[in-house]
Amino acid sequence: MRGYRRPDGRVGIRNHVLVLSTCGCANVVARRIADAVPGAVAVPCAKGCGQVGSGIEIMRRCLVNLTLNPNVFGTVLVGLGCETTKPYELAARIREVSEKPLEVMTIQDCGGSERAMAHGAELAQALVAQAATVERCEMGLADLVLGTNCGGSDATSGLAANPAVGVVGDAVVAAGGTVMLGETTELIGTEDILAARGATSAVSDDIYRIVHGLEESFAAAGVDVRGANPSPGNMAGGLSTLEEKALGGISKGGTSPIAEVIPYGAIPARRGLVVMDTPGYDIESVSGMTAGGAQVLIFTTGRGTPIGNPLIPVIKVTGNGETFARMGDNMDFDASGAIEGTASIDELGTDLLAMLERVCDGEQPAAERLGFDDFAIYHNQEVWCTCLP
Amino acid sequence: MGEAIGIVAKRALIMATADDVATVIDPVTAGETVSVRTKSGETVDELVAREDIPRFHKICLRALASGDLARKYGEVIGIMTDDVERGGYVHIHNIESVRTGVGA
Repeated sequence: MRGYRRPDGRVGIRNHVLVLSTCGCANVVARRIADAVPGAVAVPCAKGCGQVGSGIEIMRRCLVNLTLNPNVFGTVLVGLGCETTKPYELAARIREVSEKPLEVMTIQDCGGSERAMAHGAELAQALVAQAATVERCEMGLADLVLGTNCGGSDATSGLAANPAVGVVGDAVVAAGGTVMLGETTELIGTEDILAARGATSAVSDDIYRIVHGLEESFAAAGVDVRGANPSPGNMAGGLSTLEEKALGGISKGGTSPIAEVIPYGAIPARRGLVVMDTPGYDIESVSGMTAGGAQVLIFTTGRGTPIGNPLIPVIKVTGNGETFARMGDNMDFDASGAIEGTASIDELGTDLLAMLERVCDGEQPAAERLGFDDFAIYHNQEVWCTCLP
Repeated sequence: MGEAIGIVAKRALIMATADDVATVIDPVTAGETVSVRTKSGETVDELVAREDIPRFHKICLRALASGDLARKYGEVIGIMTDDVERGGYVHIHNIESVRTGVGA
């Protein structure tokens, strides 16, 4: 595999120029800048202003860390100018931790959207020209941070797709790389099992902290997660208990010890299998892992989903042969052989690892080929507009 | 290997060697032979189903008594609420979650 070495030593599998909006008011301008410059990709920000509490820090951490994603060569920050997340302060914070090329501009400084788009396109074009001079270097699985996610699960997910991804994850970890397991909602019911796999007692404590913390938040909202799972549809599909459902989900992380538990959008300090505290909503979970430095993500789905990401290739795996046929536009890997009896899970894992290596080397999975650039940073606090029905 | 005379055995997947249950990947009728394969594709067991078992539901690989913990993926997936013999059907009528966590 060949990648792009960054100043911090990490290796990207893509060489994007990021046009990063720092406030919702700048999203359209940022997108039009990227649209005008081949090689540039826009990432929107739903907030950036009018926020309260810890949500501000989560968002700023994600914005900073997105520029650090190894697939990013350099970044143009595009702000409005009067928002509470000040673009120039954000740029200063990024420069403290990164030597990558960084430009910053605001629409108000430029004097309107027309001039901002022209200026932004000039900045992005100059970065694309610089990016083209980066020579590709040899890389291996040890350089990889592999994200995982599941969505639209069905009975085949825990039997074929997730275990096959688990085989890939074990291979990446064995080679010295990193695998991210997220979706804390899906971990409820497996906390004892995951805690027993913690590399240290502090890691085990962190597993309990994120799972029980989430459960308490659900309870405060009147939701009994354990009582509601497995759902009647899950039971009809053969799942008998919450633990069984959750084990099928975490099987996509493989069997490695848990090296670390990290907050949403944070960059792992350790290699190996890492748990990131992400929500169950797929787009937010994938976006958080992107901020955390995943260069690529394997996404398992029973029913099929088109979602992708602007910065990292998302590989779709289904254990449902019918879905692979019906949603062919959006699927990359058919793991139904484990169900049909034509392939073992280990064989599927070996084939999927080969596909992962091809994608790292430049092959485009469906979502990337189609330009599906879904992105959303998780926001944990909303204060307004909650009083009237 | 793993086939009853004249009939292709129904198939089941076992996710880890210590598991008490396997997942049938064909619909199974009582009396049919079920062949159990591992993740590597090896056939490790063959047994006769005592009950009808729908596709993707679980067959019991060794006798379990009420109160026993049942394993799948090499981990405990629940506690038995009734006795089940080898070849029996394990589902919500005879297994329940080991409730842990907040409010346990």
